[in-house]
Amino acid sequence: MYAGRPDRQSLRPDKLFEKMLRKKMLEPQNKNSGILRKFLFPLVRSGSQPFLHFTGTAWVIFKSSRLLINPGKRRLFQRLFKRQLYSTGVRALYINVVVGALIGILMISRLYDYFPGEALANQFGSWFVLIVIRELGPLISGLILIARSGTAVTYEIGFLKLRGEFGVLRGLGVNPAYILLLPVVIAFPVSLLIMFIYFDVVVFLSSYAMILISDSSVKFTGLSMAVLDQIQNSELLINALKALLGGLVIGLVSIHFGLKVNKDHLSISDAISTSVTIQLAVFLVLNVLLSYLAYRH
Amino acid sequence: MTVIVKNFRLAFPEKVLFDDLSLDLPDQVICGIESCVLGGTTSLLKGLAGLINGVTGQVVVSGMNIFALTEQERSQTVAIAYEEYGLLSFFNIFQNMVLPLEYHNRLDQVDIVNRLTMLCEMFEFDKQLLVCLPHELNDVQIRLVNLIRALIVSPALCLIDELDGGMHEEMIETAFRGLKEFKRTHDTTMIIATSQDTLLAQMDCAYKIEAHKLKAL
Repeated sequence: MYAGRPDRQSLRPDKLFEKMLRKKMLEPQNKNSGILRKFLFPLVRSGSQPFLHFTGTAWVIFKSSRLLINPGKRRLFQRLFKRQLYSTGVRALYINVVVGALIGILMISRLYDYFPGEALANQFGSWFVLIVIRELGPLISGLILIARSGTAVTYEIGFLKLRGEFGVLRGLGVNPAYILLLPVVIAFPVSLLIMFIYFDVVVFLSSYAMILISDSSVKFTGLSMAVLDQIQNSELLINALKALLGGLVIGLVSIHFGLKVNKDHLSISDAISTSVTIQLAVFLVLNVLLSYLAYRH
Repeated sequence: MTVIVKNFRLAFPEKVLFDDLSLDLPDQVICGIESCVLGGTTSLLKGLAGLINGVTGQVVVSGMNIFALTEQERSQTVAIAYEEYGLLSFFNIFQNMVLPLEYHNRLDQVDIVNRLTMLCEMFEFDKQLLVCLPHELNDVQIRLVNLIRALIVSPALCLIDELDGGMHEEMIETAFRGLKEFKRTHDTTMIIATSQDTLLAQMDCAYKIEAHKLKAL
């Protein structure tokens, strides 16, 4: 008699998808499908497996969010979420300030080479929105999130997996996805949004300082109103979407590769490098795509 | 709580560890299992706790088949104290110890702290260590934390792996006294894996692993 419950591995959504896909799409339908069976099906299968695994991970994390209904479990989650938000969003302030300040200085000093002071001050609002708020802010904040926190999460999850801490949690009847993964998936988009704001504010302040050095008559309120006038709801919406989707993708990819770590220390460094590569590629494509779709006229 | 193990089989692809193993323990006993290096005691304890896939047979604790319970129900019935690791590296010792109670909403904060204080006193665990992280503790302290975390849910069956490893005699005596006190005040049956003959002699019953089964010492 088999005493255990049905094998949980076989109930995982990615495994189920995989089974369904194999049954419905990949099984040869007739005897003439030799070439398909030999070449195409293995290719499709190997290509679809990482995607299915990724989808499965996302589904398991999403499913664990139903535990938030329970007040006791929610308290525990809040503690872990705050910890993650602090290390991902709040502690990123320093590097955001440095990068933002340098970009503000560089941007204004370059623009002064091409435009006289008055023209620059007049056009500052629209340039700032076009260059910084729409493109540079989301892009550089995302890169900082990947470099600082994406790598850290992949390492952390890999390390916990290597030490068998997921198994320890299961032994305690605690859902590992709820404790270890859900806080990351929720904290990353929120952190990215916070980082956009840091970045935009710091670039504005450093730009103002640079303009002030050349033209002391420029007023802070005038310049800030010029920027605020140019910001439309669409910019806010697209930036929120970039933060939400970008944060989710970066968080999920870092978790996905952390979970792929096996019992070998070297697999952690492999996981980090692959994870960062994928995060960069996906995040850049996402940014370009959203900007293209939202701002094409 | 009574513990009945029937037709227990635990096998890996390359090796059969236990086959047709049976065990019958009455209420509130401390049962010892003599352990030796690579003898399979850790796997036996994990198997009994329902933490290994593919185990067959029955482990019945207080009339409930452990393998038929959900993870949450099982974790409140059977607890395991690991020999090494077993703690969550991103939680401090206090958070590690109270996690099962906090997560499963068993008690309010005051009762959780009271229960933890009682256990720390029972096992003479230094409360100053509660704010430390796991990597700041030595292996003996980690084992005690594991033990306290296992007992904090007042399980019907507590499985303890190599309680005495690395402990000096006085510490072993204190820990065992604590276990006897816990057994007296709670309805818990304990199975302890140990290589210490003197400790085995003090237990209510003791077994050794022989020919894939348990044999009384």
